[in-house]
Amino acid sequence: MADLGRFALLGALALVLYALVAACLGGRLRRTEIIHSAIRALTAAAALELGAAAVLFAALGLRDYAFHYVSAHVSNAQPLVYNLTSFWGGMEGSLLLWVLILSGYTLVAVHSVARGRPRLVPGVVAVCAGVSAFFLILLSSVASPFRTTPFPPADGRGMNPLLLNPWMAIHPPTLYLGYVGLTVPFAIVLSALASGPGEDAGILLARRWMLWAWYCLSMGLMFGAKWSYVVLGWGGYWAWDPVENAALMPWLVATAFIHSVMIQERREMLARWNVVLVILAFGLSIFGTFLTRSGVLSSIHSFTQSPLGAYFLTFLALVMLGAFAAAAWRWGALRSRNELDAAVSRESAFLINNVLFLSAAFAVFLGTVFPLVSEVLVGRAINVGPPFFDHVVVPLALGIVLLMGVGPLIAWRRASTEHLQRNFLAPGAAGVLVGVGLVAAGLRAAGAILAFALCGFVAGTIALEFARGVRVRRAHQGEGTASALVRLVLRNRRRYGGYIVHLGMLLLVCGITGSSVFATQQVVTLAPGQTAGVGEYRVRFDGLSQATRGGALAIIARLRVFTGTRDLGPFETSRNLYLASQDSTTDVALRSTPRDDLYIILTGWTADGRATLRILVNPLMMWMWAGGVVLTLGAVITMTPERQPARVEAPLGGALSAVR
Amino acid sequence: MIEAVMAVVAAAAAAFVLAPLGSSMLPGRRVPEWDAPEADGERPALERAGLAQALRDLELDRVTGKLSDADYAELAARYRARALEMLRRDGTPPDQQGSRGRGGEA
Repeated sequence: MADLGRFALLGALALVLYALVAACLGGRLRRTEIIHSAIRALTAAAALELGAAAVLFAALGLRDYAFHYVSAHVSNAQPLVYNLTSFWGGMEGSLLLWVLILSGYTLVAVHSVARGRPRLVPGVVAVCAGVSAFFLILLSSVASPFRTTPFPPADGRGMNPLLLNPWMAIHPPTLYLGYVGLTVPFAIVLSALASGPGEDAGILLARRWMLWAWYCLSMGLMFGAKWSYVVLGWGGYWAWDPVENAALMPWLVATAFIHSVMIQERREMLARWNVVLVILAFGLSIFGTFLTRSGVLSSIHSFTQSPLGAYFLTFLALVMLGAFAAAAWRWGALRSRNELDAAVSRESAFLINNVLFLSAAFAVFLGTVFPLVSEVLVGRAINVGPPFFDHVVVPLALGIVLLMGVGPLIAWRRASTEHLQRNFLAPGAAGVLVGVGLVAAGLRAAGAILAFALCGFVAGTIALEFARGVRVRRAHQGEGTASALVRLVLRNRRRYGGYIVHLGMLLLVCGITGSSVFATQQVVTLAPGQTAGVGEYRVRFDGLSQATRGGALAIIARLRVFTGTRDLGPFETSRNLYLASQDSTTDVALRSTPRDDLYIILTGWTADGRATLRILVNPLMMWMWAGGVVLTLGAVITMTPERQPARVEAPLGGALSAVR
Repeated sequence: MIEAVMAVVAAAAAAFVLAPLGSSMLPGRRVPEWDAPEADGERPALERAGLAQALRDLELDRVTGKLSDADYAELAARYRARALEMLRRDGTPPDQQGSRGRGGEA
């Protein structure tokens, strides 16, 4: 069976190399049949990769310990679902998943590009085939999931118990969908640069793919945060870990692109800037993979030290060199064809927004690689730690939140003072009201008050935008409020879907602010029957018990929680000790409400039955997860193509085609 | 047995991939879509889409109170002049181009 897998990967490698050469040749000679042949080679490669994946899935499902990969990630005691999800739980399997996703994306991209910009097809095929070839070379040599042993063990090691969780089952594939998705806009833009006139069209075509990749990255980050929160048992969800940062950096750059490309669409400006952003986003996705695979930085997520780091770094250097050389070659053709009409305009707000996003990405990059840089410069790896990121990134993030409220209130092209005053009045009042209300309620944390006030301001802006759109529709279409609201969104999906995404981000900001500034905790050691209080909660410890579950010895603390006189019922928190692997995990006792999370961890116990508990109250955590749901709703609306009206009213007629 | 499977798969893949090259030898078997010279038409198409979007944005900004009537009149006149110039050049009004750039913002 392993031979079939190896054959499939080698065959796929041969086919993508053929596709790369054939696409370049076909594009240069403008020979349709050669390009068709290249696309067919990619299709056949995808089929072979699927075959290789099927072999690996079968080996994992059947616990075929003759495969090194299986014996390293599967065990007899491990549930079948986690045996299967260990496909992406290890380095080799995750690389196979990567190349499989890339093949799927490539085939979809080729067909969608062929409909709109057929001239870009050879370039897209060549770039995607080149990236696939790199991963297939690794999979066929130093990172083969099909290495076997003639003496298979009776049982495998199984995955790290921390990874045996539903959130971890979906977090990596979602993140990969985002990471790999960044390859398609990169391929489209490079193809546009290589194919001469019409570069702008290529950059605009890349927008929708970037949006999809951005959404997948967003969800991947959210799922990872949720896993960290419920599994790692430290009470938080984000630690500025290098691998977390690796996913955040392309997300920041992709977000900047999604905003700046709008200026290019409307004003034929910033094409150069957008090309750079697309290249950077792709480069950062490879850089993130390098961080994860190389083991150069210590991280909870990192795979062990492997020889892949050098391969990734070399590939990254070559790709970035080639991409920026192509951009430099076409630099003149990418010049802006218009200028800003006024300093105060929506375009200016977007420009500042881009500066802030890029500054945040650079700060995260600097903080992440600082241990490497310091090791080279002073011979000692110095970690900057969370305080650096908090001090640098948080002010930038607050600036971005402010712009989320400012941008929609300013007209494209020009804004008059009188209209600015009128537009800012209600949202500004909402922000001030929130700030004053919080101070009156006794809050004194200036940063948090500012963050919540900004959220109030942005919420006011979004509400105002919806209210105005609905009012215009009601006046001109004679619709009811609900009908006007639904049609307003459906007929202007990008605009109002975007506002819903902003709303999701606001909830996220509220959740992050509440849980990071106002969290309270207490570490207590209790005998059975004793009670500890944190905030409005009282936690009674009812005793310890033991159980064997999932191959682990679980020490369970039984608890009962009260708030005031109300009994919230029994809770359990446990420590699971995996004797075979010497690993341990924590099951958290968690009660979530919109107001706060009660989060209890068993950190220790004594022979006489006393337990040490870490009890945290994290305000507004649920808002953060709700933000992910709202963001999904907005992203889906934004990505769904708008229905085109059969006839468009003359834009100068004053009949408001814009909100029809 | 496995070797036989591999040989069959390899032969099938080669036949599938190389088929377009063989069929192109036959007369009248050219597939035209990558031969179309689209580049010449792209710049005007982008300009038209951009102009249509610009006029639409101006209108939306005016009715939602973000743009004064005076600013609207001045900017709309400027874009209207460009639209007329394009109409003279291409014979196609900007608002009928419309599929791209018709949405709002993200």
